[in-house]
Amino acid sequence: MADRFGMGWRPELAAGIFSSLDRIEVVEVLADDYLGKSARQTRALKTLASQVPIVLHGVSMGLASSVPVERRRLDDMARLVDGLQPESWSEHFAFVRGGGLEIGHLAAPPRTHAVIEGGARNIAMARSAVGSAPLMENIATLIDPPGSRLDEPDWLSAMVHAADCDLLLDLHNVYVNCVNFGLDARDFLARIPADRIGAIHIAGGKWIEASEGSSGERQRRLLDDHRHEVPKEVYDLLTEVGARTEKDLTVILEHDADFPPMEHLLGQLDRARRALSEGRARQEKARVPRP
Amino acid sequence: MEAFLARLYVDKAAREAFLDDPRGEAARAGLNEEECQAMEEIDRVGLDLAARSIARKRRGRRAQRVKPLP
Repeated sequence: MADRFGMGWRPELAAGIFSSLDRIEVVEVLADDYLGKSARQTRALKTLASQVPIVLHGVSMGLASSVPVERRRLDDMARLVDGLQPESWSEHFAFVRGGGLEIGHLAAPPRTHAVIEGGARNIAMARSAVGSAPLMENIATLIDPPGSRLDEPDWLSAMVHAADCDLLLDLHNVYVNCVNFGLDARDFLARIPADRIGAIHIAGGKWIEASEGSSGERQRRLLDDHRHEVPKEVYDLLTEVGARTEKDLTVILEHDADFPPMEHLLGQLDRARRALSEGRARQEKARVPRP
Repeated sequence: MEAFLARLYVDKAAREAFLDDPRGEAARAGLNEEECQAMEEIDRVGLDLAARSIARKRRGRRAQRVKPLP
């Protein structure tokens, strides 16, 4: 296998994806749209899977939690994976509910050892139920998770180690968290286990402003909204990843709304190809012994 | 802690009560001393932005369910 590039399936992109399969090597499908659905309802997905490799991406398990994952969610995912035979499936290092309340969004848990232990247990349960471990994605957060004992790179590394799983590394999430909370993104990459990176997400976002504070000053933070073009900084991080790992990577462009023409999205995939290739070349050059 | 955070993120009244008295609300929710301290030091700008972002997502999800493959 070699590095591959693809995009997230969205109904609005269907025609463009089907007509561009010479430039899209893999498609990522939101698993939650199909969990618990009948064979008839997933037939179209099987047709897609017969034409292009697919990977499944879940958003509702809430695996990074001290609370055990609900068994029925694992069973639903197991049935979907069994029926579709995707190349892989993924979930998030996030919690999505608590105390009987659905947050309706991915939330960063306190970065504590208790959540690492709970998360590792949940991921082990997921591996056992589904038959394969999920790739686990780092999430973007607008709030510095309260009660945290570790910073994000240390917490992610410990989580990956404890759960013995691979990372779906979202580079836009790395970028926005580093901008919002004063970390250096290259240092972030240097501190996580490069050999555990199995796939990459790239996306874009925008600045948003907080409500006016008591000083009358408005603070702003970067939001990962999947509606804007991938920024240059994310391509630079992709190059960095390419230089740091020898593993073949699957790179997925996420764009969820305000869709530009397909050619524009394909252009971003091409730019990602060049960025990763530049990192691979850098790694190769470093490996060649100097005379 | 996760249950307390979930309520802060989705319940405006609970969030306002918390911002008026972080330690008191955290203690009444049964959080331990260390967790109460953490909640007292919460990233208020982040809480404001996260809550608004979550509210937008929840409204959007209600308005338009993601359509599966045709």
